[in-house]
Amino acid sequence: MTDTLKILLNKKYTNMLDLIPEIFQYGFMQRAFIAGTVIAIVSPLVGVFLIMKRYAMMPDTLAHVSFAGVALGLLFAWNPILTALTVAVLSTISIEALRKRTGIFSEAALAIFLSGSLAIATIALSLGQNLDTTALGFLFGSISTITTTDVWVILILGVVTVVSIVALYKELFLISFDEDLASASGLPTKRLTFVLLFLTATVIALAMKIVGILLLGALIVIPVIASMQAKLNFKMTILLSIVLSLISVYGGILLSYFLDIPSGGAIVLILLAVFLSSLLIKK
Amino acid sequence: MNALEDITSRIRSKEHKSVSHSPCVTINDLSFRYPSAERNTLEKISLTIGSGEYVALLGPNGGGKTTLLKAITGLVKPDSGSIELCCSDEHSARAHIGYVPQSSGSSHRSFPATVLEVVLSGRVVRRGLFKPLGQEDKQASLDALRVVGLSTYTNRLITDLSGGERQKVFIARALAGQPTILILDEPTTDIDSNSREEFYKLLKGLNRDLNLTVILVSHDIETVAGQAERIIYLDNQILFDGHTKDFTEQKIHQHA
Repeated sequence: MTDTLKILLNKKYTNMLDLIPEIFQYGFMQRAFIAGTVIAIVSPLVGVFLIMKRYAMMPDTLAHVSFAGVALGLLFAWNPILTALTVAVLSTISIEALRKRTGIFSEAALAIFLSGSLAIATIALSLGQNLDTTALGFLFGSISTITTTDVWVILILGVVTVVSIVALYKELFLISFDEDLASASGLPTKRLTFVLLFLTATVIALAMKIVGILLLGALIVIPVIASMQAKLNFKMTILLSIVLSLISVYGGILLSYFLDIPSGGAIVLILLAVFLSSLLIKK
Repeated sequence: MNALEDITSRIRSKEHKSVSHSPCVTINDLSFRYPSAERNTLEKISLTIGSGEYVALLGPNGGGKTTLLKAITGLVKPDSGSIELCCSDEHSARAHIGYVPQSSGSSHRSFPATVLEVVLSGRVVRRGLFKPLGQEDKQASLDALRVVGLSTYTNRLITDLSGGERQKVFIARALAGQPTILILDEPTTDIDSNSREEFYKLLKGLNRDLNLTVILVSHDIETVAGQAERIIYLDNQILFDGHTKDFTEQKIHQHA
């Protein structure tokens, strides 16, 4: 049992709210909340278009591919967020090229990249000294490992993602709703889809330290699915999914702090509770 | 001219309609073959569709009807031949086409969007990349919904509509772009037989009142034959091109 939890139990939970201002005195918690806010906003923002385009499995594939980037970053002492982003973007281009040139199914192309990138990651980690523990933080999420540099990278790329989605909102809506009509209207649908996948790769690179590579697909998909149960219009669905995402991320970070559990697992458990609640409310 | 003025003036001024049907779509020696196909899907197609005509494209499955529509809309690049629309450059040509793609039935089943949001997406081609939709676009969308008789449906979810209502929304979306050509690919697939007649009446009204050139692909030969003024029967090449009356009298039993 953690010290924090013992304190909480001794105070019989009544003073839990008193502890919340206290936790913001810690630098790592400030960084976790700033980064968490950005991640909670951008994840459902790209997720809503991915789900409508039936690309719901893409985040998981890109997340696994990003792990190779993380491993290479750790091995060569580069910023792992940027190396993960680079590898994810290069993989997006390569998956599309492989699918086009060989004519193999998308799922098969994704499987090749998924297993190939995990092979690179395991070899890269074995070549370095004591990298396994750090790598575990990326796999399952850890709020204590977020540095000030990470916060700046997350803030800048987060702003780029939000601005891109807002600027291309009407085009992304159309290619998600009716790709044939979008093409007939003269929209560059393939380039727009690539922009969406590039933004997904960016969100994955941003979210992996807090949510964890193995779990961040849930943050992109579940808030959107939960908010769709409310049967709102498209913009309100996006707004509600961001609210649900923020609740889950803040709740997960607090649970992670108080119970000393991985933040990714805590966030995803709250997301699942939110999703189940949305199904019950709908009934 | 704003959207409201454009649509209402076209409704009011029926004299606007051209009797002589000046050329709107001109296709010359168009051929196209899908990479895996053994023969050309379209074989040396040549035809001219006049402004304000109501044309039905009929023919067997695999006869090239949808491919021809896709070639006109620019979704398919022909291997040879040419297509000229009644506009100079490709961009402005596309802005003059209102396209209602073939419905897949389930594709919009879970999409969380209102009728107005869907119709507004028909304005994307007019507005251009990075430019947000504004009040003028909203007004054009509301006008289009009024034309198809769904002005009270703006805030209803597209998922809550019947097949017939949804197709009307897609026509409104096409009209919101203020097209001169309306192209529809098997629009009555998801519509029950009672609603089909109403749907075809709407198309006829749009053709007559807005002077819209209507090009329609359908398997519903008998109903379409009662609406369109010209029928083109396509089985990789044109087997019949003429007045509906001639087709119904001479060819319908032969080809149906």
